[in-house]
Amino acid sequence: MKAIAVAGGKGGTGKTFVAVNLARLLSSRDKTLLVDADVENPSTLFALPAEVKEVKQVESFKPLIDEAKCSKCGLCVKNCPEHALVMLVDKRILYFEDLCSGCEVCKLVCPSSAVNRGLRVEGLFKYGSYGESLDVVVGELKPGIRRSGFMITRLIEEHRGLFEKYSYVVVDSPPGSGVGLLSVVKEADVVVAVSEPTPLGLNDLKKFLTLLERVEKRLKVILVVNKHGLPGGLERDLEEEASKRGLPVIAIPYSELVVKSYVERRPIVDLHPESQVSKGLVEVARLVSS
Amino acid sequence: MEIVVASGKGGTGKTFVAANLAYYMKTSVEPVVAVDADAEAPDLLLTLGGSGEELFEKPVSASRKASIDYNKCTQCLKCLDACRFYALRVIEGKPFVIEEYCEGCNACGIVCPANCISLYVKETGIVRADVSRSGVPVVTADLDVGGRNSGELVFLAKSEAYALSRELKAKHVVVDAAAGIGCPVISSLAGAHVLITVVEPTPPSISGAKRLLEVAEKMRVKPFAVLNKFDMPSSRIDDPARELGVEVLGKIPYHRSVVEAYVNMKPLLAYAPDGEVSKRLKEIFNYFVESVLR
Repeated sequence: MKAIAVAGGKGGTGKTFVAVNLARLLSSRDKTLLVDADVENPSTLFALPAEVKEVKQVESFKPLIDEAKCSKCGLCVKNCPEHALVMLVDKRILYFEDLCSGCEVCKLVCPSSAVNRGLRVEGLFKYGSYGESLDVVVGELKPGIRRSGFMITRLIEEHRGLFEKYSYVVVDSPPGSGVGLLSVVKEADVVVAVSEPTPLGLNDLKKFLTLLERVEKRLKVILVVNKHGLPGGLERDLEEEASKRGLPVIAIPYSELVVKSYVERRPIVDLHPESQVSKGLVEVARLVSS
Repeated sequence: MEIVVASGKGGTGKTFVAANLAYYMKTSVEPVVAVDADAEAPDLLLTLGGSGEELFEKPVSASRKASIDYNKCTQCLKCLDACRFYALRVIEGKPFVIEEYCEGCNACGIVCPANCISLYVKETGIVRADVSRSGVPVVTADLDVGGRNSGELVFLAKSEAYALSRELKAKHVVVDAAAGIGCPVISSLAGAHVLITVVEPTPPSISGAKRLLEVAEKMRVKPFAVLNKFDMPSSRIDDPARELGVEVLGKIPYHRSVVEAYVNMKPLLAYAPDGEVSKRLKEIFNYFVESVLR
Protein backbone atom coordinates (compact mmCIF):
# COMPACT_ATOMS: atom_id res chain seq x y z
CA MET A 1 0.00 0.00 0.00
CA LYS A 2 1.18 3.46 -0.86
CA ALA A 3 -0.40 6.38 1.02
CA ILE A 4 -0.54 9.75 -0.72
CA ALA A 5 -1.54 12.87 1.20
CA VAL A 6 -2.82 15.77 -0.89
CA ALA A 7 -2.42 18.95 1.16
CA GLY A 8 -0.69 22.31 0.88
CA GLY A 9 -1.65 24.90 3.51
CA LYS A 10 -3.94 27.45 1.93
CA GLY A 11 -7.61 26.71 1.33
CA GLY A 12 -9.05 26.68 -2.16
CA THR A 13 -5.82 25.91 -4.00
CA GLY A 14 -7.27 22.77 -5.57
CA LYS A 15 -6.51 19.95 -3.13
CA THR A 16 -9.81 18.13 -3.70
CA PHE A 17 -9.49 18.65 -7.42
CA VAL A 18 -6.01 17.09 -7.48
CA ALA A 19 -6.92 14.30 -5.03
CA VAL A 20 -10.00 13.17 -6.94
CA ASN A 21 -8.26 13.16 -10.31
CA LEU A 22 -5.15 11.53 -8.92
CA ALA A 23 -7.26 8.79 -7.33
CA ARG A 24 -9.10 8.31 -10.61
CA LEU A 25 -5.83 7.96 -12.53
CA LEU A 26 -4.26 5.60 -10.01
CA SER A 27 -7.41 3.47 -9.96
CA SER A 28 -6.85 2.67 -13.62
CA ARG A 29 -3.64 0.92 -12.53
CA ASP A 30 -4.73 -0.76 -9.32
CA LYS A 31 -7.22 -0.76 -6.45
CA THR A 32 -7.39 2.73 -4.99
CA LEU A 33 -9.09 4.23 -1.96
CA LEU A 34 -9.86 7.94 -1.81
CA VAL A 35 -10.13 9.22 1.77
CA ASP A 36 -11.77 12.59 2.36
CA ALA A 37 -10.13 13.85 5.55
CA ASP A 38 -11.34 17.44 5.15
CA VAL A 39 -13.92 16.58 7.77
CA GLU A 40 -15.08 20.16 8.37
CA ASN A 41 -15.99 20.61 4.75
CA PRO A 42 -15.71 17.37 2.78
CA SER A 43 -16.00 18.01 -0.96
CA THR A 44 -14.79 14.91 -2.81
CA LEU A 45 -18.35 13.80 -3.52
CA PHE A 46 -18.97 17.07 -5.35
CA ALA A 47 -16.16 16.27 -7.73
CA LEU A 48 -16.72 12.54 -8.12
CA PRO A 49 -20.11 10.95 -8.77
CA ALA A 50 -19.43 8.10 -6.37
CA GLU A 51 -22.34 6.11 -5.09
CA VAL A 52 -22.59 6.15 -1.28
CA LYS A 53 -23.41 2.63 -0.10
CA GLU A 54 -23.07 2.88 3.64
CA VAL A 55 -23.20 5.62 6.26
CA LYS A 56 -21.91 5.04 9.78
CA GLN A 57 -22.38 7.34 12.76
CA VAL A 58 -19.21 8.29 14.59
CA GLU A 59 -19.95 8.31 18.28
CA SER A 60 -18.10 9.26 21.40
CA PHE A 61 -18.60 9.05 25.14
CA LYS A 62 -20.74 11.34 27.19
CA PRO A 63 -21.39 10.99 30.91
CA LEU A 64 -24.82 9.96 32.17
CA ILE A 65 -24.90 10.67 35.89
CA ASP A 66 -27.01 8.34 38.00
CA GLU A 67 -28.50 10.73 40.56
CA ALA A 68 -29.43 7.84 42.88
CA LYS A 69 -25.82 6.73 43.18
CA CYS A 70 -24.13 10.17 43.06
CA SER A 71 -22.71 11.23 46.44
CA LYS A 72 -22.20 14.86 45.27
CA CYS A 73 -18.48 14.59 46.06
CA GLY A 74 -17.60 16.77 43.05
CA LEU A 75 -14.56 14.76 41.95
CA CYS A 76 -15.86 14.51 38.39
CA VAL A 77 -16.25 18.28 38.25
CA LYS A 78 -12.81 18.88 39.73
CA ASN A 79 -11.07 16.50 37.32
CA CYS A 80 -12.90 17.35 34.12
CA PRO A 81 -10.13 18.81 31.92
CA GLU A 82 -12.54 20.65 29.65
CA HIS A 83 -14.69 22.14 32.44
CA ALA A 84 -17.68 20.47 30.85
CA LEU A 85 -19.09 19.55 34.26
CA VAL A 86 -20.11 22.25 36.71
CA MET A 87 -21.53 21.92 40.22
CA LEU A 88 -24.17 24.42 41.24
CA VAL A 89 -24.56 25.75 44.79
CA ASP A 90 -27.39 23.28 45.39
CA LYS A 91 -24.89 20.54 44.38
CA ARG A 92 -26.66 19.72 41.15
CA ILE A 93 -24.24 18.83 38.38
CA LEU A 94 -24.63 20.46 34.99
CA TYR A 95 -23.14 18.95 31.83
CA PHE A 96 -22.08 21.02 28.81
CA GLU A 97 -21.88 18.63 25.90
CA ASP A 98 -20.23 21.16 23.58
CA LEU A 99 -17.18 21.36 25.84
CA CYS A 100 -16.87 17.63 26.57
CA SER A 101 -14.00 15.81 24.84
CA GLY A 102 -15.25 12.34 25.75
CA CYS A 103 -12.10 11.52 27.73
CA GLU A 104 -14.06 9.57 30.39
CA VAL A 105 -12.06 11.02 33.27
CA CYS A 106 -15.32 11.69 35.14
CA LYS A 107 -16.17 8.02 34.93
CA LEU A 108 -12.66 7.02 36.04
CA VAL A 109 -12.60 9.22 39.13
CA CYS A 110 -16.16 8.65 40.39
CA PRO A 111 -15.87 6.71 43.67
CA SER A 112 -19.53 5.61 43.64
CA SER A 113 -19.79 4.36 40.02
CA ALA A 114 -22.45 6.97 39.34
CA VAL A 115 -21.16 7.92 35.90
CA ASN A 116 -22.54 5.71 33.14
CA ARG A 117 -21.50 5.61 29.52
CA GLY A 118 -23.73 7.56 27.17
CA LEU A 119 -23.08 8.17 23.50
CA ARG A 120 -23.34 11.20 21.27
CA VAL A 121 -22.86 11.58 17.55
CA GLU A 122 -19.89 13.68 16.37
CA GLY A 123 -20.07 12.96 12.67
CA LEU A 124 -20.40 10.43 9.90
CA PHE A 125 -18.24 8.06 7.94
CA LYS A 126 -19.58 7.55 4.42
CA TYR A 127 -18.50 4.66 2.22
CA GLY A 128 -18.91 4.64 -1.52
CA SER A 129 -17.39 3.58 -4.79
CA TYR A 130 -16.94 4.77 -8.34
CA GLY A 131 -16.38 2.13 -10.99
CA GLU A 132 -14.59 -1.13 -10.39
CA SER A 133 -11.42 -0.11 -8.66
CA LEU A 134 -12.03 3.19 -6.85
CA ASP A 135 -13.59 3.26 -3.38
CA VAL A 136 -14.21 6.33 -1.26
CA VAL A 137 -14.37 6.96 2.49
CA VAL A 138 -15.56 10.38 3.66
CA GLY A 139 -15.24 11.75 7.18
CA GLU A 140 -17.85 14.39 7.93
CA LEU A 141 -17.94 16.41 11.13
CA LYS A 142 -21.35 17.27 12.52
CA PRO A 143 -21.83 21.08 12.43
CA GLY A 144 -21.33 22.54 15.91
CA ILE A 145 -18.74 19.97 16.96
CA ARG A 146 -15.36 21.53 17.69
CA ARG A 147 -13.09 18.56 17.59
CA SER A 148 -12.22 18.14 13.94
CA GLY A 149 -8.62 17.07 14.61
CA PHE A 150 -9.76 14.05 16.57
CA MET A 151 -12.28 13.20 13.85
CA ILE A 152 -9.38 13.00 11.40
CA THR A 153 -7.37 10.86 13.81
CA ARG A 154 -10.32 8.50 14.11
CA LEU A 155 -10.86 8.42 10.36
CA ILE A 156 -7.28 7.17 10.00
CA GLU A 157 -6.95 4.95 13.07
CA GLU A 158 -10.27 3.19 12.55
CA HIS A 159 -9.56 2.42 8.89
CA ARG A 160 -5.97 1.18 9.05
CA GLY A 161 -7.12 -2.34 8.26
CA LEU A 162 -9.13 -1.10 5.29
CA PHE A 163 -6.19 0.90 3.91
CA GLU A 164 -4.09 -2.27 3.70
CA LYS A 165 -6.51 -3.75 1.15
CA TYR A 166 -5.59 -1.14 -1.45
CA SER A 167 -2.53 -0.46 -3.57
CA TYR A 168 -3.06 3.28 -3.34
CA VAL A 169 -4.69 5.35 -0.61
CA VAL A 170 -5.16 8.99 -1.60
CA VAL A 171 -6.02 11.30 1.30
CA ASP A 172 -7.68 14.64 0.54
CA SER A 173 -6.60 16.81 3.47
CA PRO A 174 -8.01 19.94 5.06
CA PRO A 175 -6.26 23.28 4.62
CA GLY A 176 -3.86 24.43 7.31
CA SER A 177 -0.85 23.11 9.15
CA GLY A 178 -2.20 21.97 12.52
CA VAL A 179 -2.62 18.66 14.24
CA GLY A 180 -5.17 17.38 11.73
CA LEU A 181 -2.62 17.73 8.96
CA LEU A 182 0.05 16.13 11.07
CA SER A 183 -2.19 13.06 11.59
CA VAL A 184 -2.47 12.75 7.83
CA VAL A 185 1.09 13.40 6.68
CA LYS A 186 2.54 11.12 9.37
CA GLU A 187 0.87 8.20 7.64
CA ALA A 188 1.88 9.19 4.12
CA ASP A 189 4.59 7.88 1.84
CA VAL A 190 4.10 10.70 -0.63
CA VAL A 191 2.85 14.23 -0.01
CA VAL A 192 1.41 16.19 -2.91
CA ALA A 193 1.52 19.84 -1.83
CA VAL A 194 -0.95 21.83 -3.90
CA SER A 195 -0.37 25.57 -3.94
CA GLU A 196 -1.28 28.54 -6.10
CA PRO A 197 0.94 31.36 -7.34
CA THR A 198 -0.25 34.05 -4.93
CA PRO A 199 1.54 35.50 -1.88
CA LEU A 200 -1.02 33.72 0.31
CA GLY A 201 -0.43 30.40 -1.41
CA LEU A 202 3.34 30.85 -0.98
CA ASN A 203 3.09 31.96 2.66
CA ASP A 204 0.87 29.05 3.69
CA LEU A 205 2.91 26.56 1.67
CA LYS A 206 6.04 27.55 3.59
CA LYS A 207 4.29 26.95 6.90
CA PHE A 208 2.99 23.60 5.65
CA LEU A 209 6.46 22.51 4.47
CA THR A 210 7.80 23.34 7.95
CA LEU A 211 5.23 20.91 9.31
CA LEU A 212 6.62 18.19 7.07
CA GLU A 213 10.03 18.63 8.71
CA ARG A 214 8.43 17.39 11.93
CA VAL A 215 7.64 14.03 10.37
CA GLU A 216 10.49 11.70 11.16
CA LYS A 217 10.29 9.35 8.22
CA ARG A 218 11.48 10.17 4.74
CA LEU A 219 8.68 11.61 2.70
CA LYS A 220 8.55 12.06 -1.02
CA VAL A 221 7.14 15.55 -1.57
CA ILE A 222 5.83 16.87 -4.88
CA LEU A 223 4.81 20.49 -5.36
CA VAL A 224 1.85 21.13 -7.63
CA VAL A 225 1.56 24.74 -8.74
CA ASN A 226 -2.12 24.90 -9.57
CA LYS A 227 -3.74 27.80 -11.44
CA HIS A 228 -0.37 28.34 -13.12
CA GLY A 229 -0.42 31.47 -15.26
CA LEU A 230 -2.74 33.39 -12.97
CA PRO A 231 -2.17 37.05 -13.90
CA GLY A 232 0.46 38.67 -11.72
CA GLY A 233 1.28 35.32 -10.26
CA LEU A 234 4.24 34.18 -8.22
CA GLU A 235 5.07 30.96 -10.09
CA ARG A 236 8.77 31.70 -9.92
CA ASP A 237 8.77 32.17 -6.14
CA LEU A 238 7.01 28.85 -5.67
CA GLU A 239 9.51 27.16 -7.95
CA GLU A 240 12.39 28.70 -6.02
CA GLU A 241 10.92 27.45 -2.75
CA ALA A 242 10.70 23.96 -4.27
CA SER A 243 14.22 23.98 -5.68
CA LYS A 244 15.64 25.12 -2.31
CA ARG A 245 14.16 21.95 -0.88
CA GLY A 246 14.86 19.74 -3.89
CA LEU A 247 11.20 19.11 -4.66
CA PRO A 248 9.89 18.27 -8.12
CA VAL A 249 7.37 20.80 -9.43
CA ILE A 250 4.39 20.17 -11.68
CA ALA A 251 2.44 23.06 -13.13
CA ILE A 252 -1.27 22.82 -13.79
CA PRO A 253 -2.60 25.74 -15.82
CA TYR A 254 -5.54 27.85 -14.78
CA SER A 255 -8.45 26.70 -16.92
CA GLU A 256 -12.20 27.10 -17.12
CA LEU A 257 -12.43 23.37 -17.76
CA VAL A 258 -11.73 22.80 -14.07
CA VAL A 259 -14.87 24.64 -12.96
CA LYS A 260 -16.82 22.98 -15.75
CA SER A 261 -15.80 19.53 -14.58
CA TYR A 262 -16.93 20.42 -11.05
CA VAL A 263 -20.28 21.51 -12.34
CA GLU A 264 -20.53 18.27 -14.34
CA ARG A 265 -19.38 16.39 -11.25
CA ARG A 266 -16.90 14.39 -13.29
CA PRO A 267 -13.10 14.17 -12.93
CA ILE A 268 -11.46 16.30 -15.59
CA VAL A 269 -9.17 13.39 -16.53
CA ASP A 270 -12.31 11.54 -17.69
CA LEU A 271 -14.06 14.53 -19.21
CA HIS A 272 -11.13 16.22 -20.97
CA PRO A 273 -8.25 13.72 -21.00
CA GLU A 274 -6.39 15.65 -23.71
CA SER A 275 -6.40 19.00 -21.88
CA GLN A 276 -3.21 20.55 -20.52
CA VAL A 277 -4.74 20.28 -17.06
CA SER A 278 -5.18 16.53 -17.43
CA LYS A 279 -1.64 16.17 -18.73
CA GLY A 280 -0.36 17.85 -15.57
CA LEU A 281 -2.43 15.47 -13.46
CA VAL A 282 -1.12 12.44 -15.36
CA GLU A 283 2.37 13.67 -14.60
CA VAL A 284 1.48 13.90 -10.88
CA ALA A 285 0.19 10.31 -10.99
CA ARG A 286 3.35 9.18 -12.73
CA LEU A 287 5.62 10.81 -10.13
CA VAL A 288 3.50 9.51 -7.26
CA SER A 289 3.65 5.91 -8.41
CA SER A 290 7.27 5.84 -9.60
CA MET B 1 -19.58 45.10 17.13
CA GLU B 2 -17.71 41.97 16.28
CA ILE B 3 -17.91 40.95 12.65
CA VAL B 4 -16.66 37.51 11.59
CA VAL B 5 -15.75 36.77 7.98
CA ALA B 6 -15.88 33.02 7.35
CA SER B 7 -16.85 30.57 4.64
CA GLY B 8 -16.75 26.83 5.30
CA LYS B 9 -14.85 26.09 2.11
CA GLY B 10 -11.31 27.42 1.80
CA GLY B 11 -10.17 29.87 -0.84
CA THR B 12 -13.48 31.63 -1.43
CA GLY B 13 -12.05 35.02 -0.46
CA LYS B 14 -12.41 35.39 3.31
CA THR B 15 -9.12 37.20 3.79
CA PHE B 16 -9.80 39.33 0.72
CA VAL B 17 -13.15 40.50 2.10
CA ALA B 18 -11.93 40.85 5.71
CA ALA B 19 -8.83 42.85 4.75
CA ASN B 20 -10.74 45.21 2.50
CA LEU B 21 -13.58 45.62 4.99
CA ALA B 22 -11.12 46.50 7.75
CA TYR B 23 -9.28 48.89 5.45
CA TYR B 24 -12.56 50.45 4.33
CA MET B 25 -13.70 50.98 7.90
CA LYS B 26 -10.32 52.41 8.90
CA THR B 27 -10.35 54.89 6.01
CA SER B 28 -14.00 55.83 6.47
CA VAL B 29 -15.32 56.88 9.82
CA GLU B 30 -15.18 53.60 11.67
CA PRO B 31 -11.99 52.81 13.58
CA VAL B 32 -11.42 49.08 13.68
CA VAL B 33 -9.15 46.31 14.94
CA ALA B 34 -8.71 43.27 12.68
CA VAL B 35 -8.06 39.75 13.94
CA ASP B 36 -6.50 36.95 11.93
CA ALA B 37 -8.13 33.86 13.41
CA ASP B 38 -6.89 31.50 10.70
CA ALA B 39 -4.16 30.34 13.05
CA GLU B 40 -2.99 27.46 10.86
CA ALA B 41 -2.50 29.68 7.80
CA PRO B 42 -2.54 33.35 8.82
CA ASP B 43 -2.35 35.80 5.90
CA LEU B 44 -4.34 38.85 6.95
CA LEU B 45 -1.41 41.05 7.96
CA LEU B 46 0.31 40.18 4.67
CA THR B 47 -2.80 41.18 2.74
CA LEU B 48 -2.91 44.50 4.55
CA GLY B 49 0.67 45.26 3.54
CA GLY B 50 2.69 43.42 6.17
CA SER B 51 3.85 44.82 9.48
CA GLY B 52 4.46 48.56 9.63
CA GLU B 53 4.94 48.59 13.39
CA GLU B 54 5.03 45.66 15.76
CA LEU B 55 3.02 46.30 18.93
CA PHE B 56 3.66 43.07 20.85
CA GLU B 57 4.16 39.34 20.58
CA LYS B 58 3.11 36.88 23.28
CA PRO B 59 3.77 33.18 23.45
CA VAL B 60 0.69 31.14 24.28
CA SER B 61 0.73 27.92 26.24
CA ALA B 62 -2.65 26.40 25.71
CA SER B 63 -2.19 22.67 25.84
CA ARG B 64 -1.25 20.08 28.42
CA LYS B 65 0.55 16.86 27.60
CA ALA B 66 1.24 13.68 29.52
CA SER B 67 4.76 12.62 30.32
CA ILE B 68 5.87 9.22 31.64
CA ASP B 69 8.58 8.70 34.25
CA TYR B 70 10.18 5.48 33.01
CA ASN B 71 12.07 5.00 36.30
CA LYS B 72 8.73 4.35 37.94
CA CYS B 73 6.77 2.77 35.04
CA THR B 74 6.04 -0.92 35.63
CA GLN B 75 4.87 -1.41 32.02
CA CYS B 76 1.44 -2.56 33.19
CA LEU B 77 -0.04 -0.68 30.20
CA LYS B 78 -3.24 0.27 32.01
CA CYS B 79 -2.72 3.77 30.62
CA LEU B 80 -3.27 2.43 27.10
CA ASP B 81 -6.79 1.26 27.88
CA ALA B 82 -7.66 4.57 29.51
CA CYS B 83 -6.65 6.79 26.58
CA ARG B 84 -9.52 7.65 24.23
CA PHE B 85 -7.37 9.63 21.80
CA TYR B 86 -4.91 7.10 20.34
CA ALA B 87 -2.20 9.08 22.14
CA LEU B 88 -0.37 6.13 23.68
CA ARG B 89 1.45 3.45 21.77
CA VAL B 90 3.55 0.51 22.93
CA ILE B 91 7.09 0.33 21.66
CA GLU B 92 9.20 -2.55 22.96
CA GLY B 93 6.81 -3.17 25.84
CA LYS B 94 6.80 0.44 27.03
CA PRO B 95 4.02 2.99 26.68
CA PHE B 96 4.91 6.10 24.68
CA VAL B 97 2.98 9.35 24.46
CA ILE B 98 2.24 10.58 20.94
CA GLU B 99 2.46 14.22 21.89
CA GLU B 100 0.34 15.67 19.11
CA TYR B 101 -2.58 13.36 19.87
CA CYS B 102 -2.45 13.85 23.64
CA GLU B 103 -5.33 15.99 24.93
CA GLY B 104 -3.86 16.34 28.40
CA CYS B 105 -6.97 14.90 30.05
CA ASN B 106 -4.91 12.87 32.53
CA ALA B 107 -7.02 9.71 32.16
CA CYS B 108 -3.74 7.76 31.87
CA GLY B 109 -2.41 9.46 35.00
CA ILE B 110 -5.53 8.60 36.97
CA VAL B 111 -5.39 4.88 36.18
CA CYS B 112 -1.60 4.53 36.55
CA PRO B 113 -0.96 2.42 39.69
CA ALA B 114 2.70 3.47 39.79
CA ASN B 115 1.86 7.16 39.75
CA CYS B 116 4.41 7.77 37.05
CA ILE B 117 2.46 10.05 34.69
CA SER B 118 2.42 13.81 35.05
CA LEU B 119 1.24 16.67 32.86
CA TYR B 120 3.27 19.52 31.50
CA VAL B 121 2.22 22.66 29.68
CA LYS B 122 3.27 23.14 26.10
CA GLU B 123 3.59 26.30 24.06
CA THR B 124 1.18 26.11 21.15
CA GLY B 125 1.67 29.33 19.29
CA ILE B 126 1.85 33.08 19.52
CA VAL B 127 -0.50 36.02 19.51
CA ARG B 128 1.01 39.11 17.98
CA ALA B 129 -0.23 42.58 17.22
CA ASP B 130 0.94 44.95 14.52
CA VAL B 131 -0.15 48.04 12.73
CA SER B 132 -0.15 47.05 9.08
CA ARG B 133 1.55 49.19 6.46
CA SER B 134 -1.89 50.21 5.32
CA GLY B 135 -2.60 51.49 8.83
CA VAL B 136 -4.93 48.80 10.18
CA PRO B 137 -4.20 47.36 13.64
CA VAL B 138 -4.08 43.56 13.26
CA VAL B 139 -3.96 40.92 15.98
CA THR B 140 -2.73 37.58 14.62
CA ALA B 141 -3.17 34.11 16.06
CA ASP B 142 -0.29 31.97 14.80
CA LEU B 143 -0.39 28.29 15.73
CA ASP B 144 2.83 26.29 15.87
CA VAL B 145 2.93 23.76 13.05
CA GLY B 146 1.27 20.53 14.10
CA GLY B 147 -0.26 22.37 17.04
CA ARG B 148 -3.67 21.83 18.57
CA ASN B 149 -6.17 23.87 20.54
CA SER B 150 -6.29 26.62 17.98
CA GLY B 151 -9.68 27.57 19.47
CA GLU B 152 -7.97 28.71 22.65
CA LEU B 153 -5.44 30.67 20.61
CA VAL B 154 -8.25 32.38 18.70
CA PHE B 155 -10.01 33.18 21.96
CA LEU B 156 -6.85 34.80 23.30
CA ALA B 157 -6.26 36.74 20.07
CA LYS B 158 -9.80 38.07 20.26
CA SER B 159 -9.31 39.09 23.91
CA GLU B 160 -6.17 41.00 22.91
CA ALA B 161 -8.06 42.62 20.06
CA TYR B 162 -10.75 43.82 22.44
CA ALA B 163 -8.14 45.27 24.78
CA LEU B 164 -6.51 47.01 21.82
CA SER B 165 -9.85 48.29 20.53
CA ARG B 166 -10.55 49.93 23.89
CA GLU B 167 -7.13 51.52 23.83
CA LEU B 168 -7.62 52.78 20.27
CA LYS B 169 -11.27 53.65 20.82
CA ALA B 170 -12.23 51.38 17.95
CA LYS B 171 -15.87 50.39 17.97
CA HIS B 172 -15.54 47.33 15.78
CA VAL B 173 -13.52 44.16 15.53
CA VAL B 174 -13.28 42.32 12.20
CA VAL B 175 -12.32 38.65 12.50
CA ASP B 176 -10.89 36.75 9.52
CA ALA B 177 -11.80 33.16 10.38
CA ALA B 178 -10.21 29.88 9.33
CA ALA B 179 -11.71 27.66 6.68
CA GLY B 180 -14.06 24.98 7.93
CA ILE B 181 -16.50 24.79 10.79
CA GLY B 182 -14.39 23.31 13.60
CA CYS B 183 -12.69 24.53 16.75
CA PRO B 184 -11.11 27.82 15.56
CA VAL B 185 -14.21 28.85 13.62
CA ILE B 186 -16.47 28.15 16.59
CA SER B 187 -14.16 30.26 18.76
CA SER B 188 -14.30 33.00 16.13
CA LEU B 189 -18.11 32.96 16.21
CA ALA B 190 -18.37 32.81 20.01
CA GLY B 191 -19.56 36.22 21.19
CA ALA B 192 -19.62 37.71 17.68
CA HIS B 193 -22.56 39.78 16.46
CA VAL B 194 -22.47 39.41 12.71
CA LEU B 195 -21.21 36.76 10.30
CA ILE B 196 -20.33 37.50 6.70
CA THR B 197 -20.20 34.24 4.77
CA VAL B 198 -18.05 34.54 1.68
CA VAL B 199 -19.50 32.24 -0.96
CA GLU B 200 -18.39 31.48 -4.48
CA PRO B 201 -20.85 30.03 -6.96
CA THR B 202 -19.71 26.42 -6.77
CA PRO B 203 -21.42 23.42 -5.15
CA PRO B 204 -18.66 22.78 -2.55
CA SER B 205 -18.73 26.42 -1.48
CA ILE B 206 -22.52 26.51 -1.13
CA SER B 207 -22.39 23.27 0.87
CA GLY B 208 -19.63 24.62 3.11
CA ALA B 209 -21.55 27.85 3.67
CA LYS B 210 -24.68 25.94 4.68
CA ARG B 211 -22.72 23.94 7.22
CA LEU B 212 -21.24 27.17 8.57
CA LEU B 213 -24.67 28.82 8.77
CA GLU B 214 -25.90 25.89 10.84
CA VAL B 215 -23.15 26.57 13.36
CA ALA B 216 -23.84 30.33 13.30
CA GLU B 217 -27.50 29.72 14.02
CA LYS B 218 -26.64 27.59 17.03
CA MET B 219 -24.35 30.35 18.25
CA ARG B 220 -26.92 33.07 17.53
CA VAL B 221 -24.71 35.13 15.26
CA LYS B 222 -26.63 37.15 12.68
CA PRO B 223 -25.67 35.83 9.24
CA PHE B 224 -25.12 37.66 5.94
CA ALA B 225 -23.49 36.52 2.73
CA VAL B 226 -21.29 38.00 0.05
CA LEU B 227 -21.11 36.28 -3.32
CA ASN B 228 -17.52 36.41 -4.50
CA LYS B 229 -16.29 35.61 -8.05
CA PHE B 230 -19.96 35.58 -9.03
CA ASP B 231 -19.12 35.70 -12.74
CA MET B 232 -17.02 32.53 -12.60
CA PRO B 233 -17.40 30.61 -15.85
CA SER B 234 -20.03 27.88 -16.00
CA SER B 235 -21.16 28.23 -12.44
CA ARG B 236 -24.82 27.47 -11.97
CA ILE B 237 -25.96 29.18 -8.79
CA ASP B 238 -28.66 31.63 -9.81
CA ASP B 239 -30.02 32.78 -6.50
CA PRO B 240 -27.58 32.41 -3.60
CA ALA B 241 -29.88 34.28 -1.21
CA ARG B 242 -32.62 31.73 -1.76
CA GLU B 243 -30.13 28.89 -1.72
CA LEU B 244 -28.62 29.98 1.61
CA GLY B 245 -31.63 31.63 3.22
CA VAL B 246 -29.71 34.75 4.29
CA GLU B 247 -29.45 38.30 3.06
CA VAL B 248 -26.80 38.73 0.37
CA LEU B 249 -24.93 42.00 0.84
CA GLY B 250 -23.71 42.01 -2.73
CA LYS B 251 -21.86 40.32 -5.55
CA ILE B 252 -18.16 40.74 -6.27
CA PRO B 253 -16.86 40.00 -9.76
CA TYR B 254 -13.60 38.21 -10.42
CA HIS B 255 -10.83 40.37 -11.79
CA ARG B 256 -7.08 39.95 -12.22
CA SER B 257 -6.48 43.05 -10.10
CA VAL B 258 -7.45 40.99 -7.04
CA VAL B 259 -4.37 38.81 -7.48
CA GLU B 260 -2.24 41.79 -8.49
CA ALA B 261 -3.19 43.60 -5.28
CA TYR B 262 -2.06 40.55 -3.30
CA VAL B 263 1.24 40.46 -5.16
CA ASN B 264 1.72 44.16 -4.41
CA MET B 265 0.78 43.55 -0.78
CA LYS B 266 -1.97 46.13 -0.69
CA PRO B 267 -5.66 45.81 0.00
CA LEU B 268 -7.45 46.09 -3.33
CA LEU B 269 -9.21 49.28 -2.19
CA ALA B 270 -5.77 50.89 -1.89
CA TYR B 271 -4.21 49.24 -4.95
CA ALA B 272 -7.01 49.85 -7.45
CA PRO B 273 -9.45 52.20 -5.70
CA ASP B 274 -11.28 53.14 -8.88
CA GLY B 275 -11.57 49.68 -10.40
CA GLU B 276 -14.80 47.80 -10.92
CA VAL B 277 -14.17 45.40 -8.03
CA SER B 278 -13.33 48.21 -5.61
CA LYS B 279 -16.50 50.02 -6.65
CA ARG B 280 -18.55 46.95 -5.76
CA LEU B 281 -16.70 46.45 -2.50
CA LYS B 282 -17.35 50.05 -1.46
CA GLU B 283 -21.06 49.70 -2.24
CA ILE B 284 -21.26 46.52 -0.19
CA PHE B 285 -19.27 47.88 2.74
CA ASN B 286 -21.12 51.20 2.73
CA TYR B 287 -24.43 49.37 2.90
CA PHE B 288 -23.07 47.05 5.57
CA VAL B 289 -21.74 49.86 7.78
CA GLU B 290 -24.75 52.13 7.32
CA SER B 291 -27.55 49.57 7.48
CA VAL B 292 -26.24 46.62 9.48
CA LEU B 293 -23.73 48.05 11.94
CA ARG B 294 -25.74 51.11 12.86
